[in-house]
This record gives sequence, C-alpha cells and structure tokens, in this order.
Amino acid sequence: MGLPEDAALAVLAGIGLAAIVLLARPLLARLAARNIRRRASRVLIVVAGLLVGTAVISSSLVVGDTLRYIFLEDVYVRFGAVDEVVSNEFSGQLLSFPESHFEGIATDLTAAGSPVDGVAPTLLKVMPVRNVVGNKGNQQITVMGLNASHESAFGPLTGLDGGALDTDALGPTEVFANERAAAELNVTLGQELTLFYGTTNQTLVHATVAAVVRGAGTGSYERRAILFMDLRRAQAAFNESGAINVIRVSNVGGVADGVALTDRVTQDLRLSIATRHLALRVQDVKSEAVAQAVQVGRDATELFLVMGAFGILAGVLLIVNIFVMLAEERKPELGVARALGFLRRDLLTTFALEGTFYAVLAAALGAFAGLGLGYVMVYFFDRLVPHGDVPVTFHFDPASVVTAFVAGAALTWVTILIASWRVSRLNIVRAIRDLPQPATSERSRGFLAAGILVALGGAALTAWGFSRDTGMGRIPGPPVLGIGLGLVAVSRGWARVGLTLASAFNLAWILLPFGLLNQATDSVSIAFVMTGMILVGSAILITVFNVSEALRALLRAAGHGSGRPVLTTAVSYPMEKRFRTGMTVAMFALILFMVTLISMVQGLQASSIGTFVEQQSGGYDVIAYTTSYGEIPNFRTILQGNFTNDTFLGGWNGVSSASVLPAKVQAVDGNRSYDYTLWGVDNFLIRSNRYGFTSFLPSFVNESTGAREDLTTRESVWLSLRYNHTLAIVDRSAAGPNQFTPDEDRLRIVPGTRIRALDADGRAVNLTVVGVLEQALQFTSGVFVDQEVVQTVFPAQEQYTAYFFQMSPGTDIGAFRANLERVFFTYGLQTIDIREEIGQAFDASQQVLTLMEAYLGMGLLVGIAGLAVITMRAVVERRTQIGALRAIGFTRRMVLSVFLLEIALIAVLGVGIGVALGIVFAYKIWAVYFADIIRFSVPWDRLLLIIGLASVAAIASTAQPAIQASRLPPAEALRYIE
Amino acid sequence: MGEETIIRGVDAHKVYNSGPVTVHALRGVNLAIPRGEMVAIMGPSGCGKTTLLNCFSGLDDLTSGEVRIEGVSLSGMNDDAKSRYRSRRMGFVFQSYNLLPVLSAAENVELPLLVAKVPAKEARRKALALLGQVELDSWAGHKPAQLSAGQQQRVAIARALVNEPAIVWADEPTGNLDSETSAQIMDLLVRLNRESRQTLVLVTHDAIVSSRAHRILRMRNGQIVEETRGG
Repeated sequence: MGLPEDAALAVLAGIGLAAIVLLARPLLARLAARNIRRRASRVLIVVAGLLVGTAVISSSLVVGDTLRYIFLEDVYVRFGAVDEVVSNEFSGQLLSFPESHFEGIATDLTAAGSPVDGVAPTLLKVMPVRNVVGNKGNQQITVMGLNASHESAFGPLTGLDGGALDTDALGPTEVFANERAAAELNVTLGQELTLFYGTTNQTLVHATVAAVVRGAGTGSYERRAILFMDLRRAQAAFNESGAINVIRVSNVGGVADGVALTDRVTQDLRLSIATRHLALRVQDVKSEAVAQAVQVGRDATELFLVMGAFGILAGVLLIVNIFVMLAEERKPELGVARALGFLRRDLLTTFALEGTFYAVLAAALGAFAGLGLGYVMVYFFDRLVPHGDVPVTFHFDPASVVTAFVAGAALTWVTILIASWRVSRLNIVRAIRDLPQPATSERSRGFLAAGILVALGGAALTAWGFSRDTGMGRIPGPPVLGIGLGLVAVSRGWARVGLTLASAFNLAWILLPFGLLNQATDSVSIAFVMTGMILVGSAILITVFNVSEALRALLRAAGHGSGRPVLTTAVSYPMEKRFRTGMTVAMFALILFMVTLISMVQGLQASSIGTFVEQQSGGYDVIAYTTSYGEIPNFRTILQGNFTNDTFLGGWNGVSSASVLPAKVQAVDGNRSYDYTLWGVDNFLIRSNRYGFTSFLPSFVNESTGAREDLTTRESVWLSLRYNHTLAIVDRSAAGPNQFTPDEDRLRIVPGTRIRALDADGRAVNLTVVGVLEQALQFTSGVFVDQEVVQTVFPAQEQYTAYFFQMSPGTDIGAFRANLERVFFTYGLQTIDIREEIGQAFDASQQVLTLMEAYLGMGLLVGIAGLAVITMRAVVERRTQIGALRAIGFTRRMVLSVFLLEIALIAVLGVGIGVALGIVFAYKIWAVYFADIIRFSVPWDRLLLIIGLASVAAIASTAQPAIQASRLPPAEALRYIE
Repeated sequence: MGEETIIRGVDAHKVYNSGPVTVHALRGVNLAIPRGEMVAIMGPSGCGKTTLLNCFSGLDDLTSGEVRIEGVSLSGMNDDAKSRYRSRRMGFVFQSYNLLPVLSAAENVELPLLVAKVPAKEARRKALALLGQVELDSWAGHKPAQLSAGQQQRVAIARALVNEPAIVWADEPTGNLDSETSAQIMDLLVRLNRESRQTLVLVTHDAIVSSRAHRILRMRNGQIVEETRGG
C-alpha cells in the first residue's frame, strides 16, 4: 500500500512549518511547551482519545495487509509455477481434447518467442479412491497424469526425504500420493488403492503408492488431494488414449514474478488457438487469483474502515471539544496576551504548535496501537471465520503503519488548526474578564453567509443527485440544504426553531421507507457513513436544543423530593454548554449507532434462522450428489436394501432425485448466454419440495389433455413441469438484484419469457419460464425442468445426479449420511446436511458480526475520553460554585451526585440516541430489503446489555473528577482562582 | 438587639500549610456576637478576616479552639451535619455573588429551600417573595448573565435570606460594586437586618460599609486588635 502522497506532503509541510516556527518564534514555542506540561493527566487523556482514530486506520490497513498476504501466499501455493491453463472447460467440467493440440501450441509459443519456460500436457481426473487396508476412502481424489519430460519448469515432485521424484520412474501400477491424499486415504508406502472411475460402466484402477510427495509446487496443485501417474499410464487407465484435458503453462520468472508476463503469454496462446481453430480456452489462473487476493485485502480494509469511520469521526469531535475547552480555560491569559501585543496569528501559532505535539504523539502511538488491534482482529478472524485450508499468519506492510501515522496526524492537525483559528478570534476585554462573547452583528453576518453557502451547496448536491440518479447526491443534498436554512435562521436569532426543524426534516428524509441509493453505481460504504452522520448529527441538534425544556417540565411535574436540588442543578449545566455537550453526546451516539445496527442484524438473523433454513431447505434435510457423471444404477434398489422406509418422511416418497447438468442459458431473443445449473427434477421432488415463488404464470397448457389449466398455488406451478415439458422454473436472480443476489451476470426475465438451455456440444432445448423462485441460494440456484427433459435431450455422461432426502423426525442425520456415503462410495456420492450447512454459515456470520461489535466498541474510548475531559474542565470551571453550593447546604454526596448525574445524562443521551437511531435505521433496512424474507424483531436483551455496559463504563471511568469535586473543602473552593 | 449570644468563638486558631510555608491565619480569636447584631470585620489583606468568617460559619475547620453557634459546637459536627445546619440556619453572600449561572434568579434563590426539603411550590413562592423584597420580582426568570452586578448581588442576598437564617455571613458583599450600588446594597442589608433581626457578620475593607454596622472589629495578623461601635 503506497503512501497517500497529499497527506504525507501536508504532514511534512506541517512538521517543517512547526520546525521553522520553533526556531523563528522561540517564545511561542516556550508557551506551547509550558502549556503542555501544565497538566500531565490532561495530556494523557487527550492523547488517549486522539490516538483511537489513528489506531482504527492502522488496524484496518494491517488487517487488509494480512488478508492480502495470506491469500496471495495461498495463490502461490495453489498454482506454484503455473501461470496460465489451457483447457476445454464447460461449466466446471474439463472435457478431453487431443494431445496433438498441446504440441501445436507449444510450437507456436516457441516460434513467437513467448516468454514461457514450461508448457506441460496433463490429464486431470477426479474420482473416489479407497484404501482397503487403511480402511479409508475419499470421493474427491484428483488423479494427475504428468509427462515428466515437460515438467522441469514446474519444479520437481519432492519426496518426504527431500529427493526428487519422477513419474517416468513409476512402475505400471504405481502412483505417487501427495501429503494431503496420503492423509485423506490413511495410506503408507506400498499400500494398494482402488480408483473408481465413472459410474455407468465404471472402471476400477488398482494402484500402489510408491512414494508420498511433499505438498509444494506441483505437489500442492490447487491444494487438492492428488495421486500422480505417468501420463501414458493415466490415458490407458481412463480410456483417454492420446487425450489430455489441461495444458499448464509457466511464464519466465519465479512463482510470483511470472504473473507480470501474463498479458503477453495469454495473447500468444489465444493467437495460437485461433490460428489452429481449436475449441480451447485460455485462463490466466494465477493473475486472476492474485487480483482476487489483492481485492480481498482491499475489501477487508474498506470494511474495517467503514466500521471504524464512526470511531474516527468521534475522534475528530473529541479534538474539537478539547481545543475549544483549552481555549475557554485560558481565555483570560489569552486576552492578556493580546493586550500585551500578541497578534491573532500568534495565538493561532501557539495552539497549533501545541496541537502538533498532540497530533504527532497521538498518531505515532495510534499507529502502533493499531498494529496490536489488527493482530487481535486477525487472531479472532482465524478462529471465527471459515477460511478453508489457507493458513492465517499475521503480516503487515511497514508502509501501512506509516500511512496510518500520516493519515492520523493529518486528520488531527487539520482539525486542531480549525479549532485554533476559532480560538484566536476573541474579544480582548471580555477574554480578560472571562465574560462570554456576545452575539455581535459580525457573528450574525457570519452565520448568514455560512447558511447561504451551505444551502446553495445542498441545493446543488440535491439537483445533481436526482439528475444523475445517484445516492451520493440524494442522500446528503436535502439535509445539507436544510442545515443551511437552519444556519440562516440562527443568524436571525431563531436558532432553536430553525435547527430543530431542519434536523427533523433530515431525520425524516433518511428514515422514510424508500431507497435513496442507486445499488448499481453507488458506493454503499460511503452512503452508509453519510447516512449515519446525518442521522446522529440531526438527533444531536434536536436534543441539545430541546431536551432541557423537556427535563425541566418533568422536574416541575415531579413535585418535591429530596433529590430535587441535585436534579435541578445537574440537568441545567449540560444544556447551557450546548456545543460541548452536543459534541460529547455525538461521540457516544456515533459508536452506539453502529454497534446497535450490527446487533440488530445479528438479532434479525438469529430470530429468523428457523424460517430461513426452512425456506432454503425446501423441506429437505440431506442432499447427496455424485462427483462422477451419470446416474447411479439401481439407486433405489440399493437404498431399499440398506435402509428402512421409516427412515424417510413419507417412506420412500421422501427420496427424490434430479439429473443435473451444467449448461449455458440464454433468452431466446437474446445473444448473451450465462452459466446455469440445469436441474431435471423427478416426480418425487416436484411433489415434495416446499420452495415458493415470487411470480408465476396464471395458467399453462397440459400437454396430455391439451387443456389450459389455472395456476393458483405453489404446488400447481411445480406440477406444471410434469405436465408440460416445455416449461421451466428459474431462480430468484431472474427478478433482478436483491439482498442476496448482487447485480451481476444473470438472466433478467419474467414468467412467460422463452429461454434456451445448451450443453457444450450445442445440444439445446427451448423452454418457457412458468415461475420465478423466491430463493437463489445454495440448493435453489439454476433452471428447473422435468427430469425427462434433461434425460432425453442431453447425454447421460454429461449429467450427474443429486438426491434429496426428507428424514423422519428423530433420525440421526450424521449417522445416515455416513452410512449413505459408505453404501455408495464407489459412485463418489457425497452428502450435505442442509441445516448444518446453513447453520455453519450463519454461525460464522454471527461471529464476524460479534467481532465487528468488539472492534467498534473500541470507539467508545473516544467518548469516555471526551466525557473525562469535560468533567475535569467542569470541576475546574465551577470550583467556586461548588463552594457556594456547599455553603448553602449541599453535602458532599449531593455535590458528587450533581456531577455523576451530569455525566450520566450525557452518556445516557448519547447511548440512547445511538441505540434508538440504530433500531430505527435497522428497521428501514429491513423494510426495504428483507421484509419478505425475515421477521423484524429487536434483541432487547442484547441491546440492554450494550446500553448498560456503555453507560456504566462511561460513568465509572469519569467519576474520579466528580469525587474530587465533592471532597473539596468549601472554603478552599471559594477562594480558588484559576 | 437581644442579649442572647448566637456566635461564640473561644481561643480560635487556624493554621494553613501551604507547601513549605506555614500560615497562622487565626491566633487565638475570642468573639461573641449577640443575636440580631450587625458586625463588620475589617483589616488589611491577609489579616485573617475571611478565614475567621469561613471557620466561624463552618465552611472551614479550626486547628484548635471552639466555635459555638446557637450554643452548638461546630467541631462536634461531621461534614454532613454542618452542611445541613448551614442549609437551615445560615445564609451566605459572597464578593463574586457565586450564583449558579445556569439557573434563573428564582431558581438560584429557591435552591437553599430545596436543599432543606421544602416542597417545590412553597420554595418558589418564598423565592419570588424575597425577590420582591429586593425589588427584582420582574427579573425572576433571568439568568445571572442577564443581570447587572448590583442585581446579581441582590439575588445573592435574597438567596442568603430565603431560608430565614439565624446568621448571614457576607464576605466583601460590595467588593465588586461601584459606590452607588454599594450604598444600595448596604441599605438593603441594613434594612433586612433591622426588619428580620437576623445576625449579620460581614467582612469588608470599606470604611463606609463598616460604618453602617452596629460594631466594628479590626483584625491584624490573625487577631482582633480593636473593637469600636458603628453608626
């Protein structure tokens, strides 16, 4: 990750400027240094709060670095020296082609001077293999037939003893097993394996393990469990004489460097294929995989940055709050300084120098703290998120740490400069006498000008957003316009009414149940952060301008009580300092908004998992499928011989099947085809499934009777496939993108559309869409027709069979699956427990969300730091008032209660606003995207826990100044001069 | 004036430790003030007059000696007891007014009553009545920042008197006021003292102010060195 050059330049410029000032104005530097040393505890709190923003940035980058690194490493392990692959792949199946194609292509590459150092023919098959002696089998063992004379560029196969192994040296019945295959099959040297190739007319191949190959280079190709054979031997064993199905190509350079030549080599390969009119395709497998790995890293960084954006925002608010209060604290001395002759820019410079110290220190600490936080995130990622065989090791690019430092320092420094500018513009006499700055006509003009500018900006954004159909304008435009008009109202002295109305409008604009986002083009991340800022900001404005009236009304209604003087005092102070209070409330609200939103998503998932599983499973418990093409002969006979019918719901009627075929599907009047799975469903499946529809035709023609029959129920739509073989059902993706189906390459059709399904050889069937499913996930993705359609139009060897089982209540599904796989092992039958599969994905999702919540919770540190700073400031500001309160009879406990109540009021307001907005926004998301899928509910127990923890943490962490205030002797407080 | 002694101090000493420096602020002060008397305490800066006021009112503790208010020894009370006593039997007027800036005039005045657990409605009624007595009834809803210096001090006086205290302690009540306003404030204090017969102890360096008192005590170096009759 490179440095953001602008930010780096800005920070370098700032540091350079600071250095110049230090040398040129040593007096200002001395003042800044003395101020820093004045209150060490304050410095610690300030730096702790400021470093959070940088830590968020740093950890986001570091997590991205780690994921990018581990997935890149995985790419290099999986592909080794292989940069491109030439094959005749059709929807995931490798079709064989003459070995002479390889010879022609290799010749062409040499003639073109293509920068390749290796081209190798390969026969690659996947089949069940059993180790009888070792009592283990696996349905998905890869068998690779290699020609050793072409393998030099791809690195040798290496035995466990480190010696090179050569497939040329293998005996007629010998194979090498890589480490993974050896483990899967529990195999040792010399043991015999049985390879089951094909289902109809199955071929058994017996082989002996001659050596175990290390999992490196070709030995770990695509991280498969592999048996290596001599190519000729493999061709003979699998009836593929003179045929191969993969050509592996290695570019000049190492495993990582060769990818740079991909474009040239790919071009040369395509030229060769086109010239020779070969039905082959080139895939730049490594380049694609590298791009994906890099994208994973980017996506992870973006996700964490979005999650952490609110923490960063809260950090910015903290900086502003701190510097405004520092200015208030020093107002008299600043006034004296101006009276003595200091210029405004001297005050600005002094604050800026002090701020530079905080910025640099906090950014440096934050960058390193982010390393630690990133490490923790990666640790939990490893444990909570399924990541296949990819080993997770923490890794970071030092440039990321520097980037985080630069970004954090720049952000802090710019904010400090703005706050310092505001500070420098004080009235000298009022500052010396520590009187509030009056509303002047100059201030009113300032608000008016700002309001008009902001309103014009908002109007422009709005116009752009609607004209270009983009949420980037529609979302913020009207709120910005509203705030601009509110500022104009402020200039007229109508701050409360103006800003309250503007904020109420903003809330309504964001929360109304229509989408402002253009899902096709808008950045969801940016839109989400904008939305959060507008919601929280608007709620804060309404609160700070109106809550004191509400609280006072409550107090009046409350009558008398021993806590009344405490309540009266506690409630009044925060609402007098609106800016300070609003900033601090916002710090809590921003974080709690995000935490609540995530918690809501978790709750929605958890409360709906049962319904979701039921919808996705369609009523089935287990799905089984073969890895070899064809139909398992006498499947039901074998099943009935090994299981009793009470195992299944409805007896043998609870067993269904589908003939499955990878196909290309296109609209009849379209010219673009898409990869689809074609499901030929049997009568049992038609009658027993519980999948529903988003839309379907009102009627169909029964081919048997010629009569038109109404379609009114889900069951009748499915049955129409049986009675009219020209009909098909398509998955949900046909209805356009939704929360589960992004806007990517899929058919866009409605019931009644005519489509065509084709296989690799161009065999086709024309169909009419009768219905569009509710789902498009996992087991319901594809085009569904009657089984006879698939079996009559397409050859058996292109199909595989999937079996669906509805189990009787109480059946041990794990035991059933193990038995089923054992019985049908030679056919490579594998099984999936549908509920377990969905449940695992759900669990992983829940855990990731919990991880996000914990990450976000760190942002609470900012709020706590903010609250601590204003409490410390309040104790100092009100020291003589504390003395007065004690004089008129307030006890220590009452004074403590006043401060604790103030802290509690701010924390609870912030937490409450954040939680309330999080719930409401979650409802909007649910209403727009999920209402037809899951039921809305609020996880009150979890939210109450979050509210309680956040509030208690906030109050407990900031109680110390309050305790100090309560212990002040009255006389000492009264004679205090700041 | 009644003969009952409401404030009695015997051999009162107060020593401060301010870092390495020890300050003997009160050196054996003996004092007796009868109920209803208006006493002015004068002296140069640092003579101990504010310290005397703080220690005799219970805002601060003596190092040694005894103070009895209405016959009750302050040193026998814990902090809460002193606070409660102050809320019921004492009022305070400070040089810097020390009003709570976030409360209105009426809310500032009623605060001691609320502390003494007087019902809110009654507290408000009494507060408004006191504000009327100090001629600020039309300013009841204003915050201190919206009042002049004199008005703020009058609010402070109203706050000091609202709970009908036995004793009012005033530390430089006219210190931040111009001469005309000072005179008005003193007229008010004298009038209220005559009408309500509350004991009033005020610390001042202003001879004109002190001349309005029944008795003037002069302090120097932590001791009362002179006692004269006022006007």
